[in-house]
Amino acid sequence: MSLDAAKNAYTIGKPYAEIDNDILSPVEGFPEKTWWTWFIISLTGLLVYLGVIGYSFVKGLGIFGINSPVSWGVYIIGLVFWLEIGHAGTMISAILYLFRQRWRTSINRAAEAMTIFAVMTAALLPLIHLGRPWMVNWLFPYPNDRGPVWNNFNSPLLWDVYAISTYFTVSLFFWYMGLLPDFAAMRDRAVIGRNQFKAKTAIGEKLLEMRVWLLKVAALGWVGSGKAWHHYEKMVMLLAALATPLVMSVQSILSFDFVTSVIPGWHSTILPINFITGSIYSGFAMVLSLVIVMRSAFNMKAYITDRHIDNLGWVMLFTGMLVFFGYFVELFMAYYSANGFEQYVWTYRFVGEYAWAFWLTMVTILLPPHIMWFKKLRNNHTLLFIMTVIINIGMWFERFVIVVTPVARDFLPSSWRLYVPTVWDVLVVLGEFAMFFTFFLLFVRVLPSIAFTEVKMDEAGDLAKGKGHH
Amino acid sequence: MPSFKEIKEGLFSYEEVDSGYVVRVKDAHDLLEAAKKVRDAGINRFDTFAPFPIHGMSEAMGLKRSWLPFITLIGGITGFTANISYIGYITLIDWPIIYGGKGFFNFPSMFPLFFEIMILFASLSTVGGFMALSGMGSINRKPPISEATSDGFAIWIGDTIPESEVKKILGSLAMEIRSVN
Amino acid sequence: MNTFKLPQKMMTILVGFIGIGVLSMAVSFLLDVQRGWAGLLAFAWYLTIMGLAGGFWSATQYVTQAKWSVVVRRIPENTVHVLLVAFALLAVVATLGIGNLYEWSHADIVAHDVILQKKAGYLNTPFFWVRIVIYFAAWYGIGMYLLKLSKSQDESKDPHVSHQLLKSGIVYLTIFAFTFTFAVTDFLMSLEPHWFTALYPMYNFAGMATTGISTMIILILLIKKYGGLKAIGPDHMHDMGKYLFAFNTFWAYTVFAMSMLTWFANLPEETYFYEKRFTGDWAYFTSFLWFGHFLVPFFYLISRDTKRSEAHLMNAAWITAFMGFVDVIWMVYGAFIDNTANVAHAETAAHAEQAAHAAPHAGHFIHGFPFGFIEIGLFLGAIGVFGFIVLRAFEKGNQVPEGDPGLQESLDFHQPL
Repeated sequence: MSLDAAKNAYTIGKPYAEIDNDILSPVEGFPEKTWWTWFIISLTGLLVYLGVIGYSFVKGLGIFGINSPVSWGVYIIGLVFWLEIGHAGTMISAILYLFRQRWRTSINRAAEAMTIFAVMTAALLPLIHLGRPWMVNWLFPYPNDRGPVWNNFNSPLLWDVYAISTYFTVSLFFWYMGLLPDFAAMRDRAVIGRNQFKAKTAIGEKLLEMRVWLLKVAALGWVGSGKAWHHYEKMVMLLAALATPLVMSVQSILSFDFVTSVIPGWHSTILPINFITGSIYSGFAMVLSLVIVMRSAFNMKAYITDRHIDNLGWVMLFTGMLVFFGYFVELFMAYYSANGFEQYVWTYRFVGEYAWAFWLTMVTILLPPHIMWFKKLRNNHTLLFIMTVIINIGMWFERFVIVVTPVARDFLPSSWRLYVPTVWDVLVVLGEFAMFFTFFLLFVRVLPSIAFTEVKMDEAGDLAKGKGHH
Repeated sequence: MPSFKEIKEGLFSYEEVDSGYVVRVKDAHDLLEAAKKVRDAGINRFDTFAPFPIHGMSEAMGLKRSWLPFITLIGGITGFTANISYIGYITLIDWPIIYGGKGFFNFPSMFPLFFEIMILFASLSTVGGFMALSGMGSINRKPPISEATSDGFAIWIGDTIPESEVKKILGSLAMEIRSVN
Repeated sequence: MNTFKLPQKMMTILVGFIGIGVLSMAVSFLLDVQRGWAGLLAFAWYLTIMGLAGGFWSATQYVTQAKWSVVVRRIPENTVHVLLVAFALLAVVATLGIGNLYEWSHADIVAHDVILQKKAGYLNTPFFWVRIVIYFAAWYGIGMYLLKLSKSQDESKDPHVSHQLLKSGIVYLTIFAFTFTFAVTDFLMSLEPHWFTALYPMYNFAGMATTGISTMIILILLIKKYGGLKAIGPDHMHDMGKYLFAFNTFWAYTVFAMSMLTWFANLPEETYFYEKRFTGDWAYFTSFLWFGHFLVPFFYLISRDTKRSEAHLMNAAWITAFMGFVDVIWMVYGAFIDNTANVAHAETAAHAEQAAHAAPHAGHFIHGFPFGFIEIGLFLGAIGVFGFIVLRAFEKGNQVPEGDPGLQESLDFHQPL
């Protein structure tokens, strides 16, 4: 990575209209076979998932592997896992924005979409886990005729309700506001005759008209006025500045579910920080896998360059080392505490019934990113893709270890019980992925997966500096 | 303190293109130059149209600093105090109850709730403020030149001046002049 | 060579500050030996974090290859010189003052204390000394290496040096993460050896970064005031202000997480750390720390105008630097609070036992309000030592890294409106 090579690495050097056409080509065209194959697989998975959820409503939570000491099973593991995945999108769109990282431009739209869908997937899980999900409205503190019965405002579980709903709302608005100029551009493409759609029938034409009308509504009358841009840029900056503490707080509040308890292994005050680093880690792994697939599927190598992949890889290495450091501090403090219960949790993780999961986690999350140190390996994108998949499997098992091991052996030996997932648990995990990918596959075909307005802005910036090759 | 007129100017700055001329220019750089010239010529009502934000355009157009951060701040403070009042009312007046031996109203364990609502209100007021300040919502509005959202650049001069005056101000920057209405 | 020398008057003032510091230390020892040792530890630790923050900060800039910060870099790089003084003082504390400060260093106490026996593998005097030498050897050694390497680029203009700095920066940051965690555990957490919390090193890291950046800002603005460092404009200071704001907020976050979680779980072995610090006069002191360290600078620095104005930024930097010292005092002096009332009024036998554990050994109490003229004198002394050493080192080299390939970009750097 020589220093001069960094210059102009992101300049595309195409006319603006061509940039629009390139990025909108997956949107303004009929999907090909590969997309349909994956979409039908995901959709089937999603339907099965909905079936499992419905069955659990009828039959009760007893069909899952959860039991008395281990009352948080696959659902809470999934909640933590998917929320952490989601947070990388905000990291890219907000924190890298505040750090003025140019390379976020090409990947932030897809990453934010990933955030939205991951949070949707995550938020569904605790609702099913309620046991009586038809009483979901009881989660919200509104004046009611039940007494009134209010929520326990001291409960971290209620903080989660606040945090996740705020996070979802803010992310959605942030994403939508980013899409606004892109919607306007898509709206006007039909007028200037650049639309790549070609309607063959009368119904097709009607549908295209409807599409333009929907885009009109979505674009809110955006026309690219200089005065509007003036406020727009301020708004993006403000939302980024608000989203940054928000993402930290959501992740911390999620960890408070565990840390406010008095269970050894959960009550460790470094856990909020570990959740934050873990979320960047697993989220960037997901972004990297999606981006590697996306750019080869849609021929976006000019926009998502090798350097983007490289940068994401370095972020993986850095956060991977932070995750290791977090584990180290936790382990060191368990030793330093001289507290038998704290130390027992770790002994149990090392050699107990779940040692396989613990060591699997350690191997799969701590080792893979170190391929970045070797030039040959880090330039091999297939290898990077495999790395990210392995890391995400490892991160799922990390949540498993955190959620299950401290309670499977609690203070009273007579109540010790293991958590053994049933076939329904497995179906839920697969269903989560199916749900996520269904939405993501729809996204890449309906909305521009690269924020082309921002790409053009950076291009113009390069031109102004005399760096471009127009 | 800024005067009421200044606040009003800083707040509702978007104006509809309803009079004068729309002038097409070549690229972002020319648009920047054109904006400077129009501002220096003392034109009161004008706006620029570009498919992306141009670095330095706010200064070139002589725009005042955006009042948006102020709206965000007010939204945040409102959210924070509103939620304190709401939870305070519930836990101290409406139905006081002790959980876990911690007292009725606990700032440390309720702070996360205040914080989240503060962020929510601040974000929503930022978005709402932006929509109001930049005149969003008229969905049938069309850009003065159709390419303005893709690769076209234009400047709108709203003052009632003769076309020769426009030509004089912009000189060779003007590629195409179209009068509105 | 493009060097800059502060007027002699300024250096005299700094020497005066050092004089005040020495005098306060002497008075402190004369009045109350325990307060003297605790004050010396706080003083030396404060110097340590100021010296470390510069190295940490510049290493992050090497690793991220940040361009805007190139012109700012020389002051942070030079802070490493302070570590020598800090080491000398901490060596005195660790040899002569260890009996007064560290309960675990008394073999007779450990013999009757099961928890301390379990910790003896880590908390014992010889290993403590070895660790101190390792920490400072690593921090000072790598820090000086980075400084020399960065300075060598001034002459050679070799862009490959930047790449070398990147690599060494990674090594520095990795070593720093571990050594700093252990050092916080050794010097501060083991003052109350029965107590532990896993976030404590991170909390100290946030404090270190806030203090370090504010002291860097003070020195940079001082030099600018007398006509040096012309390359640094309001845009660069704006970013330094943002750093200060961000790290200060992170500090508040760690305070909230640590104290709320301790309060919420209410475990007897943990909660006395805060119980002590909320009894009597200490309740005011703790509130002063939390409000003064977080809220005041937060609302001061939230405005863009404050960050861009030299006078306002200087005020904010002085506040956070001072509150950084208050934070250290809070951690160190808190270990020696007279805890007998807590023991007497404990709710249960388990709480009483834990409260007794939290009391300082052999009656090593610090009486009275924890903060007075002596501590203010110590703060001025620390700033004097820091400023004097760093500015003397700064005078010997170029004001900005003239050979850095990012220099032009840094000079041209502008914040968007």
